[in-house]
Amino acid sequence: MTHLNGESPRLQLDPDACETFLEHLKAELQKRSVCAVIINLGRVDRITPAILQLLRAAGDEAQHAGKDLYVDRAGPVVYKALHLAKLGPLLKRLQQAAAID
Amino acid sequence: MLQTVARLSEPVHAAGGRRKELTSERQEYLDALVARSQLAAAAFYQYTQEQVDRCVRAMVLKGLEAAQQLAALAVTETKLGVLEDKVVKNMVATEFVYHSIKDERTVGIIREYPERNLKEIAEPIGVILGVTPITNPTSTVLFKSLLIAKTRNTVVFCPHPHAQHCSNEAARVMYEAALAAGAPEGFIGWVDDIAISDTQYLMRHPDVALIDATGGPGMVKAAYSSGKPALGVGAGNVPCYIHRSADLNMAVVDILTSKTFDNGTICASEQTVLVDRTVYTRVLELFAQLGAHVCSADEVALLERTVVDAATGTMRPTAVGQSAVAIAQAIGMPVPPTTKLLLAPLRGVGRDHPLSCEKLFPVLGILPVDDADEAINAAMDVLYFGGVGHTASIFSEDETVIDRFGEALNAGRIIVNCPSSVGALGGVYNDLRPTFSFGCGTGGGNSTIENVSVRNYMNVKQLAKRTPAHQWLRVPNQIYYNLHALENLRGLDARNVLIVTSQDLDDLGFVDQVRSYLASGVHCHVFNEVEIEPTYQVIARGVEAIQHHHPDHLIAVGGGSVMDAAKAMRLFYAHPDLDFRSLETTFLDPRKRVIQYPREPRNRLVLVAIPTTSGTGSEVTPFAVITDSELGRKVPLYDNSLIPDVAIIDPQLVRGLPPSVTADTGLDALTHALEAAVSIFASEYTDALALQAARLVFEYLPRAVRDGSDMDARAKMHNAACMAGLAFANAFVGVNHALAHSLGSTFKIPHGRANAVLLPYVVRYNAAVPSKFMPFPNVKAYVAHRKYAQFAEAMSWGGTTAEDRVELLIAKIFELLETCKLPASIKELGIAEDDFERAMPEIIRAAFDDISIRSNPRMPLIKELEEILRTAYAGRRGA
Repeated sequence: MTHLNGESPRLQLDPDACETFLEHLKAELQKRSVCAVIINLGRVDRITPAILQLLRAAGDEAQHAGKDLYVDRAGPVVYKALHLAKLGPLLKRLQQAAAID
Repeated sequence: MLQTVARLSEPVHAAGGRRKELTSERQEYLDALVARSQLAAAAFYQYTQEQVDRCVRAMVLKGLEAAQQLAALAVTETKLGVLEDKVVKNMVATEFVYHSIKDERTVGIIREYPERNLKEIAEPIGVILGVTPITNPTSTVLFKSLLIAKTRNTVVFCPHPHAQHCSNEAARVMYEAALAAGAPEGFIGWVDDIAISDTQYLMRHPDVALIDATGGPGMVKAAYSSGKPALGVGAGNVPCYIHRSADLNMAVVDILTSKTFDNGTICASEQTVLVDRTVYTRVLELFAQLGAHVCSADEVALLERTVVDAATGTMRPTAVGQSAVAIAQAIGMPVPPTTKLLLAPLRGVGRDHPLSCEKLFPVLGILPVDDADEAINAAMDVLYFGGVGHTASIFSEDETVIDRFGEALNAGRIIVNCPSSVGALGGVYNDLRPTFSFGCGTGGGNSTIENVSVRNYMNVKQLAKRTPAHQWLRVPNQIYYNLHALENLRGLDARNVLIVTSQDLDDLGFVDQVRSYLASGVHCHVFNEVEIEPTYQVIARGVEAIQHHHPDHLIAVGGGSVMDAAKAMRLFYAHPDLDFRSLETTFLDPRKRVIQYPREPRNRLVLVAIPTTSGTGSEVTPFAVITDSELGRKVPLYDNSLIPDVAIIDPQLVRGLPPSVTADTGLDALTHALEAAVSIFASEYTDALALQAARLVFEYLPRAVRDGSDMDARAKMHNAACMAGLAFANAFVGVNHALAHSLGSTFKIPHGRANAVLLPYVVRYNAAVPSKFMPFPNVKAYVAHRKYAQFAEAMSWGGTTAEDRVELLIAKIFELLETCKLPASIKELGIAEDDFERAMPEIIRAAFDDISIRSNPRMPLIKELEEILRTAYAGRRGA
């Protein structure tokens, strides 16, 4: 469904526990079997500059590791904030596959 | 297939428009075009609205007549698009545009707002450089020519090199029609045998006033980077969402209408359709039934490789404006000859999915989505993939979804339940202004986001007349005055009253005196905890007393502190959750202050104010001061809801007032009157009150001070204080009060005395020509000195000039101070010079921050405040 070739662990971004998030992400990115990490933003109702900064850092980490970073479960308001912060080049939106057979 | 792919990769018009060198002859030719246009602009400026409208109408009629001929020329020359659709475009560009602008005023005064004293006047821009595209080469020229004529501008058209013959022919048709109708010679010009270097040169020409560039992102960027004002439109990449609530048949027909219109050359046409998964299959079926070819995965991959340039991620120009069948043939995709559209199911949108880019030809991406949230996010991805600010489209019957889509998408046009291309052009499917220039806002690097029309082609000047500020006179419902006015307490419709007072006044028998005037049967309770400068804690205890006794009337008996406390108690009783600190604010104009007080409840407590001094005026004012003991500062409250309902001005309550308090409070009343008279908010109403109040003070204060039992003098002074209160309640006070507040709190000087000791010096200061005027629309001349002179005149003190009379007033104030045994200088207050100098900076800082200063007739400078204080300290009386 996600077209990710390899392991793609999901990390929940909890606005109340941002401090440890980046460390978890780095650990996942270091695993050889992981091709991408999916950040679940379902618990983020309103994005803050701190969260955007965190996501930018996460994107940089993934780019550095040569792996993809996806965001999933972002509401339109949160998702627009990602675009406005110009995080598009760093983060991809997890897209559902089209039924085209 | 490889060959056909290669063919699509080749530039169609490789040879044209590439002249690199701009020769001096060419420059002369271009300069001459602009010079001719500039002369025409000067002539056109003189035209009336009627003359302009006559030209526009003639142009429209000629444009309609030539619509088919111009469309044919465009198709022949550019090899793009569909003849029939280009005819429609030309007709929209003339008839529909005319309909939208014909009644619009574009000459002279174009709009008036009498209630705002405002008029708008049109000013032409001058020579406009009209850059036109290959995709809509004739319709854009027709459109821009009409706007140019309607706004009395002139234009030099720079057509796309590969559409120059048809574009210039369109310009010629419009020009000749206008010329025959009386337009100035040379107002429409065009560049023959154009090359890109010509356009670049003209973009930087000093006599070109505005660039209107319709074209690709490169052209728009060039226009904006020319350093000239520019209108421009760029690429779109229109997402279209079909929500499950949509009328699916309508949606599919509309999208086919739109995407195949002129073979998809309109940049507002749909590029990727996002469809709710529950109706996705049905939508595919409908597309197939109506002539779309639904591509297989292999065919989608083929399209990705052929119609999109892998290096840039953008569409190949060679496919632009070609039919679905032509494209399919070119890339070796077998499709029926009746195929209208190549529908490409995608696996996502954005940079990893090439076919989700802008495609100005009948190839359309389609993607299923789970719900509205995913659709909106995907639509954002499409827009941010090259179409920010342009257009987005939605088919839905669910208003909530439509609104959410509109809010989220950064697009100048959100087209609802319409074909997006024709819908965005405006006037056909909706009420958007008809246009062939779509502003894309700052997101698209444009200076406007709306459909470009005449308003973008004019400098609209605003003629703003002076608008006097509305003023007011707010007073209590009833004011009872003169000896034994307390008798009126019997007439109150009261059953249960709470008397608010201080312990001292209670002990002195004032409460009993008031109680004796209440009708029999009225329950009477007393809250006697108010002290001088009441704190919020005292107010809170007072509110508890109200909650406990449930009175229908509050009767405040006392001086300013008691009445202020009662005003605050009533406010916080009605609004117990109100934070008193939240009401503290400074403001420049009371009608525009940011903080709003809560609405008064219908059956709120009746507040009766009975002053026991003759000075404060608080019984009739909308002011109160609460001390914030925690932060050690005073919180001024101001709102008309604080004004007491009833004021009882009975001089028997001031009979025992000591001479010094009588003097202090009497001078306070005089200061209120004099400051209200010269305030920028002074009016005929407050002037009358101030003048009479001051007259009474000068005449009766010495008597009241000399003999407290002189009830005639007491009554006059009590009335004077109330009248001065009414004056400053509505006109406010000034720099005297600002300095007195600050000086008084620093050295613990009674308020009235602090006012008194500054008053003659402030009068002299305000009577002089200001170094800085106070801006206020109701003040038409500096009249403070004349206002002061009126007092001397009313008192028959003599003097022949205003200056004489001001001096007489100052002398009389000094005389009054002496008579009342009040100090005439700050030094006489017993303040050491060292202490005074040390405190000066903070006194001035606080005074400058005091709200009273905002209504002073002249705007005091810091150094001037310092000078007033130093003069008042030394007691220098001379001018």
